[in-house]
Amino acid sequence: MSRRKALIALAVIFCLVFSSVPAFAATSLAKDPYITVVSPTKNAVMKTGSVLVSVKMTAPRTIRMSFYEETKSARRLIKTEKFSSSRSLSYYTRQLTGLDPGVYCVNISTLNSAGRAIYASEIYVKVQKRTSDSVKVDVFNSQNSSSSFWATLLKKLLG
Amino acid sequence: MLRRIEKKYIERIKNVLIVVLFLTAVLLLSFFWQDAVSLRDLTPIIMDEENSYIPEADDLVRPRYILFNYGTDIYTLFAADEPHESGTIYDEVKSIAAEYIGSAYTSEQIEASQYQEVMSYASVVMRFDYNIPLLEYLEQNDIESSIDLSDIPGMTSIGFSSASSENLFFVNRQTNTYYRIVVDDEEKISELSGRISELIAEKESSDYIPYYNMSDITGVENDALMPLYMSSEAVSVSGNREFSIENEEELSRTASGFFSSGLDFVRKITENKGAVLYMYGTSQSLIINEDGSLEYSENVENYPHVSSDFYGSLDTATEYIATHGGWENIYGSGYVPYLKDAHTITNGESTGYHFEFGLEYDGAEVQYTEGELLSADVYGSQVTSYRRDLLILPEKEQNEEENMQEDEQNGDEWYAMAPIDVLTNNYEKICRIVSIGSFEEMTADVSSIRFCCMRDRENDPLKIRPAWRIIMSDGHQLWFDAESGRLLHHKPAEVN
Repeated sequence: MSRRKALIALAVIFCLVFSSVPAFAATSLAKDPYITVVSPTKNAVMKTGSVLVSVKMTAPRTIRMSFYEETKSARRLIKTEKFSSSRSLSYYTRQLTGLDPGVYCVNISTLNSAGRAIYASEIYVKVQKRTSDSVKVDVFNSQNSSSSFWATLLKKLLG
Repeated sequence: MLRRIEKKYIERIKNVLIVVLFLTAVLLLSFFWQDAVSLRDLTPIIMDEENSYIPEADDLVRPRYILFNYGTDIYTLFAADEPHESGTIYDEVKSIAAEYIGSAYTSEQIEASQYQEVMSYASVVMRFDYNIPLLEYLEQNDIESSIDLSDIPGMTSIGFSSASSENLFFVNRQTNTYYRIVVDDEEKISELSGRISELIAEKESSDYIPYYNMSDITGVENDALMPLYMSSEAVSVSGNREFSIENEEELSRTASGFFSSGLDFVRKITENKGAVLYMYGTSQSLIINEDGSLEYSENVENYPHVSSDFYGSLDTATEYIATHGGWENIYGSGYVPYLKDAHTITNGESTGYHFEFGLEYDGAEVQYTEGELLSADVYGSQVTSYRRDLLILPEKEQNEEENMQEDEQNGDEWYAMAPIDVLTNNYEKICRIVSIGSFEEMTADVSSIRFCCMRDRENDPLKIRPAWRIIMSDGHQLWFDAESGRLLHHKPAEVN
């Protein structure tokens, strides 16, 4: 019995450790200290088919943004573009729309003058099928709300 | 013989005198007729009164924008007159609101946090810039309520959420109060839920300009909305002053419209700085400024307890404008007027309304760096203050319109500098102006960033140009050229 528990615990640890491997395995380059990916955040879940990419650059840089769809078998490039700034502060922004549900990867690479990537950051996001139509919240059944309702009712009755 | 000759001369002199008198009479009469003609010329404002175009209240009272929250931190703002099916998007949102109000079961005041939670999901809000008495708004728009809504005195926003489709929400930003009206008919809720979802889905799939919380773009905590980019058809246009103090005849014609007894008993004073002042006793005064603006004021008549309703006062103001400068110059210049601000004012025991009108040009709001475009204070049926400061733009000719239509078809819109680039390119200047230390502090301090058509009253008063207007949390305003991002003007918060 205890052996089975140990096996389950090992399996859980194995899953936890290796589930995040693609995020690190996909790029062997270090992160650029002058580049911050503001959006999307790591492992964000998008409920519509669009992703905002916003990258803060705190030094003159040339970057390449590549957006991939991750499938079990392969990685498919959806969009790539270069952006250069000679300023000490600038942002690269792009909205990617019309995405099908799935897992996507945003790769931001810093390029040297020869056009070779010297730094890179990767963020994985999940695009889900829109479910907001069925989302219902009931914030008005709280104690606070019902007391407010009775207060209004009493106010109406008593003028 | 001598007496006969003398008599003959006397007769001749008499004849000559008669002829002279006749000619004098004709001359005097001609002067009189000429005067009568000029009098007619002097009163075109009054003569045109019946023929002058007066916009309907519903054309002026419309939401500043309709905010769509797509439920995933993506927003967009639609103008009220954005086409939707056979009408406008405002018509559709108003129609959904009318369905709620007509089927309401009860209403209650709610907490701000409850409202904010519900509206954080896919939702729609139509936002006015001023407080409208709710019952008057419903009556004006032929919306019948199934319950008594007198507990909700006024509103600045109406909204609904797909996550709480049994509720319609009213917000009054002036009093910071939130209300909901509740529908309990399941069939009706289902129908309304379907309409809301359909509307949001339709707009989400359309071509829209995405807005995000500033924090999503900059990484600095700030929930103010900022567009990711901005396309526009607005261009810089030069115009002319509406009134000129150099043309005496035009000046008298304009002034005579403000004084019911004419200008005979009105004192005219030309000030050193170029303004012309007309005064009737101490009760009425009109200033026509060299820059083409005018300011009129008169004392509130001593009606006891004058109080006015919103729409009645608005009608008084629009009719007054029609006969004192008119609306033709506004529409003729290609502007679309709307009600920008409305608030109650008091004078002794009388209560009235101050109305300020704004203008849109090529879909962008016209913003002056100083002063109001068009405003009126109304007490009952009396207008006690009137300000008018318009830049008259050349009429868009038929050919030009055709060209524009072709351009539209060809997709020949231009893109303004992205607001995030305006901030990064200018943050050192902004930090110096508003005395803030870093980009992060400055970004956290931005309360609004909007695309507009700017008129720099101080440096370039005869032009409107596309610009970004940034308002900081302390009220400091900064304008930047929409194309180059260059700082054009800034002014500190107005201290009341």
